[in-house]
Amino acid sequence: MSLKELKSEMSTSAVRGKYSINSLLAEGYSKNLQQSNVLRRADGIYNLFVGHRKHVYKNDRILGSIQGIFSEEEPFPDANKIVSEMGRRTFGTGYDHYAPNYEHFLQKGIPGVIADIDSSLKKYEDDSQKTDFLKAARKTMEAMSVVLCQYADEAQKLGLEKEAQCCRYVATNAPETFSQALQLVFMSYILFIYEERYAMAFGRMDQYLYPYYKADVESGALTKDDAEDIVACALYKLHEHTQFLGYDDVANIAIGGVKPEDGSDAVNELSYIILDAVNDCHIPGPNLSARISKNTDAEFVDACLKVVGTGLGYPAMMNDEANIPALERYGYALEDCRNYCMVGCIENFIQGKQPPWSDGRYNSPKFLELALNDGVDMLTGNRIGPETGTPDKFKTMDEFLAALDEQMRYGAEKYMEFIHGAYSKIKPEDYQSPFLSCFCDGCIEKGLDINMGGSEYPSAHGAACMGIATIADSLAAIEKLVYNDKVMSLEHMTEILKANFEGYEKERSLMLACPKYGNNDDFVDKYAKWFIEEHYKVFSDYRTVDGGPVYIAIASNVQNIDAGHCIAATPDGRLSQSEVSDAASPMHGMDKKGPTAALLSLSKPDYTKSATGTVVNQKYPPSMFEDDEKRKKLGSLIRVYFNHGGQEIQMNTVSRDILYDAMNNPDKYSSMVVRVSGFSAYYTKLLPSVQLDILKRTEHPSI
Amino acid sequence: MKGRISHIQRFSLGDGPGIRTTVFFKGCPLHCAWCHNPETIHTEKQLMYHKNLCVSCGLCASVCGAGAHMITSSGEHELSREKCVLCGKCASVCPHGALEINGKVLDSDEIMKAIYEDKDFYAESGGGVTLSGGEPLSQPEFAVELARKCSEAGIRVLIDTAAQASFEVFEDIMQYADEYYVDLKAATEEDYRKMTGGSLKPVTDNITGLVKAGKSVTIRIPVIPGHNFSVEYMKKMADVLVPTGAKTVNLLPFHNLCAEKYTALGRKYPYSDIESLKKEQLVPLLESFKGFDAIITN
Repeated sequence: MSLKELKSEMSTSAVRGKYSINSLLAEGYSKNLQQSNVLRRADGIYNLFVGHRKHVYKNDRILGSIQGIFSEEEPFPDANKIVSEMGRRTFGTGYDHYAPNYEHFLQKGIPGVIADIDSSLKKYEDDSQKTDFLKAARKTMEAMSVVLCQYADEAQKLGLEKEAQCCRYVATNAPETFSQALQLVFMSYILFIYEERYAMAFGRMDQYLYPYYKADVESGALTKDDAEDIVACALYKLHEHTQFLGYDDVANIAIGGVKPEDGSDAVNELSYIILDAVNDCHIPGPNLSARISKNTDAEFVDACLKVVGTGLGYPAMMNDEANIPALERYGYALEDCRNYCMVGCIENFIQGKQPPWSDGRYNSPKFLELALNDGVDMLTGNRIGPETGTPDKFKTMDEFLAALDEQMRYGAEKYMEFIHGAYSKIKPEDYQSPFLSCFCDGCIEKGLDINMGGSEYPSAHGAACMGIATIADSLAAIEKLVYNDKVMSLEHMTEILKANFEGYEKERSLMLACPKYGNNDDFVDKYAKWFIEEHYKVFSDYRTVDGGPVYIAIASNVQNIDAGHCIAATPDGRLSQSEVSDAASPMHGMDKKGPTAALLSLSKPDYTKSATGTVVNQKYPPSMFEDDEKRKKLGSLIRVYFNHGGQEIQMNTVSRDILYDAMNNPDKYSSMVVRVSGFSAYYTKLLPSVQLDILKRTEHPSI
Repeated sequence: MKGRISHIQRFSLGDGPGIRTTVFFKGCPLHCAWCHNPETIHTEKQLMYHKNLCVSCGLCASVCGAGAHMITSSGEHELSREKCVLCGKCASVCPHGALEINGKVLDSDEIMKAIYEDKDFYAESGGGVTLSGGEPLSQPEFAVELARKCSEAGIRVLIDTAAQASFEVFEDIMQYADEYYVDLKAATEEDYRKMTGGSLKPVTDNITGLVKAGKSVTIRIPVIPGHNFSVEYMKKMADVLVPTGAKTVNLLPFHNLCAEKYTALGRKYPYSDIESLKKEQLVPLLESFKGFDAIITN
């Protein structure tokens, strides 16, 4: 195994020189100022790819390093100015968060892609815009071929004959072996980083690499253990991103799921190998997602949970039975839906057939505040929404929901204006991505850039709607206290919220005592269902700039904290400016009946209307994953959740940090159960000495 | 029919195979000094006050008609248990979960509703329902009714008992429950009485009867420092078990993690200063159970 050696070698690596991307790009951009923008851009990419220093580790098994991003050479004059004048797309305007069609790319190899480009060049010889794009694309492929040869030369200097030969082969041939295929994929990924693209997913690695793996194993050229080491040695280099750029990449890898052609179980030996290799690496960066279908073996789920339990926190589990029908709503071919993968954290993506992904955060609970206050921000007193009526006007729950709907629609309009606004600065023909387009079906054939109609499908955008539990709990409190029990008027409730409950502690406790999402109580859960229906309806009225769909997501990353900062107190009893509920999960500490009840609640909304995906976070003590019997119980929990229509679940071990935090903030963690001998206990109710004892037991080897 | 219940625990993982719902009956004929579920001993409801969660906000004092809750001049919450009439108003307003009334009289159908919610989880994981406590068989008719209703709903039932009841009770419940966790706490009649206030004879008689009836029986032995924590004593326990025909033994290491529950009930835990046993410390005891299928669990 050489992963260990590679890890140790990499740990002593240090940055040499200054960040030099702009310098290399500018030099290329300046070669010929007379030619069209896309050709200048291709010269920039060529110079960037070919011009950087090629770093090879002595323990490399798959070549490619981002160390060449830094250079000790004199920077090109005015580099930053030249690069900024050329400009480029960003996340939000179709730059990154993309999964290439590696299956096709591997089948063709660089020469195959170049041959396709040449035949398109002939086809479109009278259309200079297309031929310029195609020439630019060709130039980037030539650059990639040179890069592979340069790495081969460097490797040879270090005596890495096998690795050098592998690189040199794929420079001019389609790959035939497992190593060659992975080499070509990994080099593509590395070059995307040089282009400053982020979250470039590997997609369904266990599927597109499988034919190469199988052939090598059958011929005796490869063993299972060796394959694991090769994969690990490639993926461990994602650590360079953290090491040299100072932040983690989020390169999603999807394993498992179903086969595109017939929907049968797609888990294979390589799925397990990738799982193990990612675990061997034990770094953030390769963001592993496990697709689970109704045909997926319990054994595979269990293997995933073992890895989760090491403290790694992934793979996240994705339910094919929710995601595939969700994507089917948008008219993609069934095979393509079945072949979906994820980009970034959880965003569903049709690999290699649509432009890069974009999403934004939609602060849903703010519109609840506006519906209660006639469109006026409770925190600033400024009008920011339409006049939908003062609270005394709503005689029924339905009348209030109608006002909320109007505020939501207005908010969605503003949101989409903002999203589309980013494109107004971009002239598409001057912002082409010739290299990336080579990894997307349709672009070469049509002679069109990935963002200009080249891709098979148009772009998709995801509006991440935050605070599902904050909204559900708030609406339940309004229905119960105002319209059913009539213990306070909506007007009075609004005054209480504006006062942030000061002087109204008793009323707040009434609100806190109302049914909460996450306890399998239909009274409140119906509003979580409403939440998804409402947002699906509202955003389905919009299209992306190229006519693609706008999906919704029930996710928030950690923005639920920022989102909460700009929201006044809410009828669920939440204090002003405190965080709103996380992603698709119940409000912290409010799912008091344990994970089964929580998951029964969580499976009620129709997630096939949340095509981006959802995030459900659950935390368990490490012992749950270590004990075979207990881990199987977690597997059953996931299976039932998915059978009931759940979309995603990610389990975490409870870290010591969280246990410390729980000691100091018991309200936030009142539903956190820890298993102690003979009985389960709410952690926050244990004596501090016992809490400390459990903390000590949770000391867990991690990264 | 109605029964006295301490609490219902869903996603219960240590009370039998698979994912389970455990119904903790309230009331127990034994009084083991180390008991780690003290809130299930008394049959009547009790106020539990978790001091570490209390922020002395005074909401409880504002609703208490009996004057049991007070905020002192220094702003501290003070509880006078003797004044409490167990009306539960304080618990219903406490926003921090510092106050709770333990113990409810519940109809079997209400309990079945909670049980039934998780039926898919039982089916997927090979789990079911555990009747525990306290002592479930101290409310025999109610326990039998719950077991029958579970059985009719296709849900497997496990009875977690100290087996002080007469075998007739077991005969009634056996038709609905196939799995039994039976506690064995001491090896002689004298020790048993001293440690628990109960009697050993019905325990061994009932185990024998259950084994004879072909039921799955797991003997659960709490290993308590100062009482039975020695290889020699465990040999005596094994000798007691041989004639019963029971084969499966679980050793449960003593722990003091329940101390807070005693404080919350206004009691002192006599074992709070005794250190918890680690699983490893029990390993030597296993040799006393040659011929048994014995493991250490928790």
